[in-house]
Amino acid sequence: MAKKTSGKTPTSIPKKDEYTRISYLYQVSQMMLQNPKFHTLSRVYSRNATVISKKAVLKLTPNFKRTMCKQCNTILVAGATLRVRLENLSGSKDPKNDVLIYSCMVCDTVKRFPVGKDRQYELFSDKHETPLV
Amino acid sequence: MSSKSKRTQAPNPPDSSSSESKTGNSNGKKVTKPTGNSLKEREKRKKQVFKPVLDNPFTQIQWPFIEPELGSHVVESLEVLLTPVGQYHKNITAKGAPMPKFLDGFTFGFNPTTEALERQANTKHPDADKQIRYVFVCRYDIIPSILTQHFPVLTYTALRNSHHTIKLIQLPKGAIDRLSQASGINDLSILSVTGNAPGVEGFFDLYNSVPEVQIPFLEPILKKRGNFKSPLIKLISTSAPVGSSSKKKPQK
Repeated sequence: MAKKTSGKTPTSIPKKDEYTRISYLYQVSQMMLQNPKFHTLSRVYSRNATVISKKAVLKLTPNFKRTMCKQCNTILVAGATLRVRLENLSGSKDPKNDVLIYSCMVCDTVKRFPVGKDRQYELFSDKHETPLV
Repeated sequence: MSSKSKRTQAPNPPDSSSSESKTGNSNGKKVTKPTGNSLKEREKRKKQVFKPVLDNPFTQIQWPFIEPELGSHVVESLEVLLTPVGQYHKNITAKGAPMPKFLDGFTFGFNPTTEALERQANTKHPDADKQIRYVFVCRYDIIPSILTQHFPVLTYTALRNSHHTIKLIQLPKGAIDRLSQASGINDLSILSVTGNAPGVEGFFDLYNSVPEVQIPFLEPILKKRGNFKSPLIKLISTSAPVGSSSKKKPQK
């Protein structure tokens, strides 16, 4: 099978600098979050990271993106800036209608995950074990 | 058969020229697209490629490890703990009895437990007796892992104002059935216990051997100050010539 040799891991990663920069900005943002005095600054940094990822057309894993509020760019930390609830609005309380709700404590923006719809659902980033570079 | 397996392996668009350029070739270089629809040609068009994707730099959140033997001991102890709860739930239909006192120290289920932990994380001066000290999660029985993903961080942030440590204890597979049966609550998979809950004292030693949650990047939350240090500027006593410095001579 000559096919197997074709799937080589790339030696260089395009736009590695931008990836590094996002990773750095995210860590700075996380660090700023830990002091209430710097919460605005924290949002500035994570906003910066998202904007760079859009401009440079980089791919971030869903798990990574979900740690930032879509509305106000706060880093979401359970208990500190993130409220987690499980909702089931159906009368029969069918587990199929379970919805996991992530809401930002800063701006009350809500992200809903209909977990009951497909319990076997897996993120593409979790499905394929990708080699680390 | 082989072509089918290839297709499932590489769910990329059939555009081979773009994927080729990702692997290192310059963008201007175009790879000729194979035309034709034979299986061999189709196989050629789909290639396994690797696309970079950035993950959270802080994904290494670990659940406290529990040895399987200890895990089953914990489940047994919980069954003992929950027996009065189960008896209460059995008799509840017969009598309209008020909620017994021993239920005060427990929270059952996803929302009550999460709420209680969040409250604990955000109240400045909580009552030491009413604080949660043990959180039990049937991690392997709850199917989408996103439902339990937040517990390590939440337990950690709840430590901020608490007087005690909070132990997050993951239960082995199958614990959900045993707990539900013991407590008489359907699908009981997440519960928390405060320090003053009746009957817990006897199990303290058992639970205390479980390691605590460690989240290095959140440590400053507990210490209440950031990691950043102000720039260290020193003054050095030295000498400098008096008057204006001489102008640079033009080079010949």
